[in-house]
Amino acid sequence: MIMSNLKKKASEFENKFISSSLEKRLSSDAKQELAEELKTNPEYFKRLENDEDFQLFIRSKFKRKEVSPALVDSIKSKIGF
Amino acid sequence: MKDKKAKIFTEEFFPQIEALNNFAYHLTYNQSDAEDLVQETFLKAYRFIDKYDEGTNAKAWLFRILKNAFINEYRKKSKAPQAVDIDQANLLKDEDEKAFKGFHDLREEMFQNMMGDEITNAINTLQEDFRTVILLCDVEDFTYEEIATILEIPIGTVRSRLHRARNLLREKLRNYASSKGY
Repeated sequence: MIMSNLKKKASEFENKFISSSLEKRLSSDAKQELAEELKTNPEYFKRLENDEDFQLFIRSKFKRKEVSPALVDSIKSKIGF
Repeated sequence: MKDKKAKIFTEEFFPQIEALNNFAYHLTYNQSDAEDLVQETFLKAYRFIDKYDEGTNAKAWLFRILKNAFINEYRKKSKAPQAVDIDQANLLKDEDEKAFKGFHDLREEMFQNMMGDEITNAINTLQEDFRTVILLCDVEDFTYEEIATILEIPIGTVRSRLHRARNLLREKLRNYASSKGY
């Protein structure tokens, strides 16, 4: 029973804060609440930190394809601009 | 009306062309097909521009059109239905339940030494569903909510698919790094 309640609480926390934070939808009050909660929950902090690190890593290394000017011209000509 | 369309295209749609081209390339693996897909996306956007609310989320709207064009037209033409990689999908199927434990730490030195080509190639080897969420979230910075709208799947599926995709990618990068002696 205790484990079940702890799991439920963890899941609620995940939905309320971690996911919302990653979705960049936290209000400033919730951000403050999250910051306080993370101080006492290093595991959540690590999860959040790892997700953010992962994004930064991928974004900094990923090679983007360049767009050819011919493609832009072709689209503009087809839509009559 | 034409001025309004031109304004939307110039100010909101054309600035997204690089991201669209990039996404299309990583769906098709072929620059010519990617350009066809991007062109088709812009033509559809022009045709259905009345359904777009000016000043809202042009990037997500265009990505959704591109993704649907890819599924409905490109994949049909290529006659190559997306195979579900059972091994890959099953590998981490229990991860939703232990999401807090499945960290994907890429700060280790062996990862940091990798070049962009190696990371990009590793992403390209992921199954399409996993590759797509990595591209949309980690490369293009869409929110989970936007990804759910673009892919037309529940937000919970986005979350779990992304978690699996990141762990699969980490494993691929780790294996690659080990094989190169990093």
